[in-house]
Amino acid sequence: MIAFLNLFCMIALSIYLVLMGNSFFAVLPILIVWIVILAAVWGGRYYRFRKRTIQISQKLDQLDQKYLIYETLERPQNAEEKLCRDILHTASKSMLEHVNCLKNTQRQYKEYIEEWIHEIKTPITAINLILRNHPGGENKRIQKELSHIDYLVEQALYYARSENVEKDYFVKEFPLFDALTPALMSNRTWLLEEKISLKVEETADTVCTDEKWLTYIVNQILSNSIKYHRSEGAWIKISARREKNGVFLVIEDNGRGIAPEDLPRIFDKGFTGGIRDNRKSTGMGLYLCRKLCMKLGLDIQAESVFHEGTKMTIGFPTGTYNHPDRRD
Amino acid sequence: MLLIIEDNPNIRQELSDYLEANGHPSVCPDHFSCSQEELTAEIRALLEAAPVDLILLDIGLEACDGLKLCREIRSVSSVPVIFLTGRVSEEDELTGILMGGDDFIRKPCSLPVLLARINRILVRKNQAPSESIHAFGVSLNVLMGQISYQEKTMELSKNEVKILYYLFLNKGHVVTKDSLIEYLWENKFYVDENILNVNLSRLRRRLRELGLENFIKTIPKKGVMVQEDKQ
Repeated sequence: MIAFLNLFCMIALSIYLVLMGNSFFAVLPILIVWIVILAAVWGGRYYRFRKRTIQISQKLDQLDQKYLIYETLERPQNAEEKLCRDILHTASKSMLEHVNCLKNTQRQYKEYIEEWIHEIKTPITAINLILRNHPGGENKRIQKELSHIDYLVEQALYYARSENVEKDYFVKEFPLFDALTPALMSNRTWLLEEKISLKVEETADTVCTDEKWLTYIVNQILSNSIKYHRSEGAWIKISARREKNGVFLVIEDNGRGIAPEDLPRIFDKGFTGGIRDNRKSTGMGLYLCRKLCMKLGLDIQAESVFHEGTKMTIGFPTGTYNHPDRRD
Repeated sequence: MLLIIEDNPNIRQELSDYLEANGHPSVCPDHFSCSQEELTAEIRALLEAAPVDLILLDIGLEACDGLKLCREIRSVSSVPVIFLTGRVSEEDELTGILMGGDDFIRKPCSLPVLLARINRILVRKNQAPSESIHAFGVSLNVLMGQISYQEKTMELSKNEVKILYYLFLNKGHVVTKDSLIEYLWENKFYVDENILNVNLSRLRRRLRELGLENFIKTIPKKGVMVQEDKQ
């Protein structure tokens, strides 16, 4: 637009000057000077503009949270920049408010879930105690269903917490097999009833991690092993071995196993597999296991021979990283 | 005498019935809609009125806080306190212990385990510090894994000690096989009923070498118990 205006003025001035009796060669220097000045002004403006855009995009690259770019911008140099800046400010402010609002809702929801889970434990405990104190015909069956309720409630609790493990965990050094006892205890009635023989080869290895989270992970793996046990001569074997780079907890069973095509997907959220009787499966158990393992810095691997058994290995790296006393 | 401070009436009732049946009568305050001060005053009055051996304390009481209550109790008495709670974090457990609690049991709790812990604390409290536990003239040294009777001593295996220890803690009461199995699982001895029976008969055979003919008695359809060995 400005280029056209300049061009129009140049032509109009030249025609006027020529009509006034000046020769064309007298007008030419005026036009040349005009063009040179115009080019210099535009060149300078382009140079400054380019410098500024490069600067801004570099800042943008360096930022972790891109939406904070507004805070790093320099003072606007003209009305246009000021307008852009104001728009950016309003937009990011409203976005932040929105995000905060959602974060708040989510936090409240999480707190509510945790509180609810603590509350629900009371009636579960009451029912459990009543069943224990008044043995009768259907008690065993009710108790079994009750322990399933308890298992699902725990799952909800750990899912609610899994988002920010780092806030909830409590790393200490403890004998590895101590974390197994509560997990075995909560599956005790089930194991005894299904007549699954349990081989626990206890070792004195200690690991550094959060005991409760580990118990939860083991509980998930065990309950899968029990759920998919074979009908005759089922066993579950728990052992540990120490290697140069860590301690490995191995939980093996001779259950149904996992189909080779399913094996890479068992840790995916919501994956329930092909052949399994999925009525009770939520596809959450192993997903949570791997998520928690990742957050705790543990390694989890599954091996399986279809129709013959499954072997889950949890690796605890030996190092100083997770050790509360040896960390630098 | 135990003091059970638990606001859920069903849990309170069942705990007190179960513990009563296993030789621990209890008193239970039954209204919790009062303020912290009133509850504290009530508990203090109870502690003064009757000789309380141990307190079972729920952390989440209606309008009151069990942890604070424990601290209040500690300021007047050194009676052992076991926390019962639905909360699971290590932090809560630590706070509980710091407030002067002696043990921390998570809901839903296993009754035999609760009973064993109560007995263990009571035994420790009532006895001069030693590693031995006694019943009817027989003494079991848990650390050394030895049993002695009338000047004779015999070594026992780790698992045999675990079985006997639970029977000793419940001396004079019938222990059901179920609760014995539950206790053993808690202590890393993962038995089923068959293996338990094999262990029990081997244990009986070994006790016979000591001259104890009928120390572990089977009560049909109920369970087992240790009793005075009548020859």
